[in-house]
Amino acid sequence: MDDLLPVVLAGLAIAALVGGFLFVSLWLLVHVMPPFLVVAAVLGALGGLVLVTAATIRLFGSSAALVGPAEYQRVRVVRRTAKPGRYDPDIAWVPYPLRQGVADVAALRDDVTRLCTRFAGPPIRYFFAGDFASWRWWLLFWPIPLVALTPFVVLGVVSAALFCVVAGVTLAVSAVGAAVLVAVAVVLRGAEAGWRRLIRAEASCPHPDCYLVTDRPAYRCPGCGALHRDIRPGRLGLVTRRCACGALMPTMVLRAAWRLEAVCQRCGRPLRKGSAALRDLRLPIFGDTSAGKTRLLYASLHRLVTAAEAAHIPVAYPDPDSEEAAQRAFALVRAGGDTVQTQTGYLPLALSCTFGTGAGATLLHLYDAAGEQFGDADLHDSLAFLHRAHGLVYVLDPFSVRAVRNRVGAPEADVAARAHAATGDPEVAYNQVVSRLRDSGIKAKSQRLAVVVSKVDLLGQWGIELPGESEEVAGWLESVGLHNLVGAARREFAEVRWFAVASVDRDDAGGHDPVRPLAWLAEKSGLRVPVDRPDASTVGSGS
Amino acid sequence: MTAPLTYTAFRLLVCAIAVVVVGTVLFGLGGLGPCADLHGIVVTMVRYLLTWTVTS
Repeated sequence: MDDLLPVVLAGLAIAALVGGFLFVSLWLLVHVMPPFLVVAAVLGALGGLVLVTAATIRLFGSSAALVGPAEYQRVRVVRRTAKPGRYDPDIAWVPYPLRQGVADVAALRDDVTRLCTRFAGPPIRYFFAGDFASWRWWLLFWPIPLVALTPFVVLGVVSAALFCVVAGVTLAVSAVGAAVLVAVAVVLRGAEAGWRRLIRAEASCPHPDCYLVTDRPAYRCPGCGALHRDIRPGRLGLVTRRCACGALMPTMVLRAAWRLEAVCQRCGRPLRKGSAALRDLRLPIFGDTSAGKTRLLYASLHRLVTAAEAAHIPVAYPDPDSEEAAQRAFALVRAGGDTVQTQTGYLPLALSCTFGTGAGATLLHLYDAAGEQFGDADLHDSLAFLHRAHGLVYVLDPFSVRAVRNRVGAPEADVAARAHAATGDPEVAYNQVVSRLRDSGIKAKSQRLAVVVSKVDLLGQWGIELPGESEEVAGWLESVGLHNLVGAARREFAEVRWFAVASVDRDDAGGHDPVRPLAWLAEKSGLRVPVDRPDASTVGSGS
Repeated sequence: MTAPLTYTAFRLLVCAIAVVVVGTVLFGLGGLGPCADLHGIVVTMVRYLLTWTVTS
């Protein structure tokens, strides 16, 4: 019994100690520590609030988290399927909801994590991995780490909760913004595409060795000159887009056409003002050398412009080159001088002019290549303006037809010299162009053709009068031995009309008015200019 | 590289909405639904601190 007494006493002492320890601990926990814990928790919560607020504010000034134009372009290049002829995506700032929102959430997460680790890391290491990491120390002095660590635990929890709120709001705003952006972009694109299809607007390059026709041109940034190849509303902006240089540019071709410099998607040279926002009308003139193509172009355009101005239709030139060329041509036509033969070494720059104003205006392009170039096999791909033309004007020199020269009665050499007669066979010149169209995969059957017998005024000097009506002109051509040409033209084109013109500036030209072929083709493509001309029946195999 | 102003506008919008959300959760919807407890906790903590400060 005596042996058990110390053990019992020791047990009682230990129980008393444990009990006392538990009592003291419980007393501390209930009566002393609550205010400290509450203060610690409040400090931790405030710390978390300040930390997340600071991290959020840092986003405003930080450029590290920015998804810049170059980075977004790299992402797009990687995701985009490579196709022949496809250009790199444009370089511009992406709207916030599409990329920057997610980037902000990631940056905020990293920043909050870093700050939490920075503030809470040292005390946690101090009590869990430092000198006070033993269980004995914790057993005796647990209130100290409890109070000391509470603010950091609360800081972490509050920071995480606030981060979740900010991240959730950011992602929600981004999702809503992206959905609105996509929906509005689809509507704007559809509206623009529909309108442009309605007015048949295209962007045609007027420059030699290119002549590319596209749905929309590229636009040069007014700030840095960078090319923006797809200006439609979309992932780079809905109403405006911001270039990498910071310059603001309008989206939509219909708006950009009047505010930005439009350039060719392929050659990068400037297009005419209003390209792709106006009805685009391309009319090439072809024929043998010295057939009178340039003369006809000048005289017909002069008459068309005169008629338009008389009808109060505004006429303008979208570029200085066209205006200079037109003024030079009009002066020559008015003076009755001879046109200079078109240079054979150069492909033609389109002569462009705008008829009308606003959405109903038409941008007319006229192409005049030297006769030799139509027969040059090396230039097969260079005369691309023939391929996407809305109509063709074939100029036939009557003095190149032997039967006509015989009817004149004068020595052939004199006739040829006085009329500057074309030397080639008219059928050859015609077949060269039609073969070129066929070889290029162009369906001539979808185009209209105006066959123009030129130099009617000279024929009149030798007493040969040509009729003014279309069918009668065709009959006259057959009468001089051009049955094959007449038959082939009727067979190969959608619609053909025959004209006999005198390319002179005379009010009494009547049925031989040089404007008639141009006016007919223009009217068929939607450009109506009231010109006085006799009715001529349509001769067509396919219309 | 300076971010466009639209980025700042979007971030301000996000901040404003977040403040409204947090404020609403803590104080705006006291006594209603799942926010009642949180609201109660905050109010209790503040009251306790005030009481403790006055009585001690």
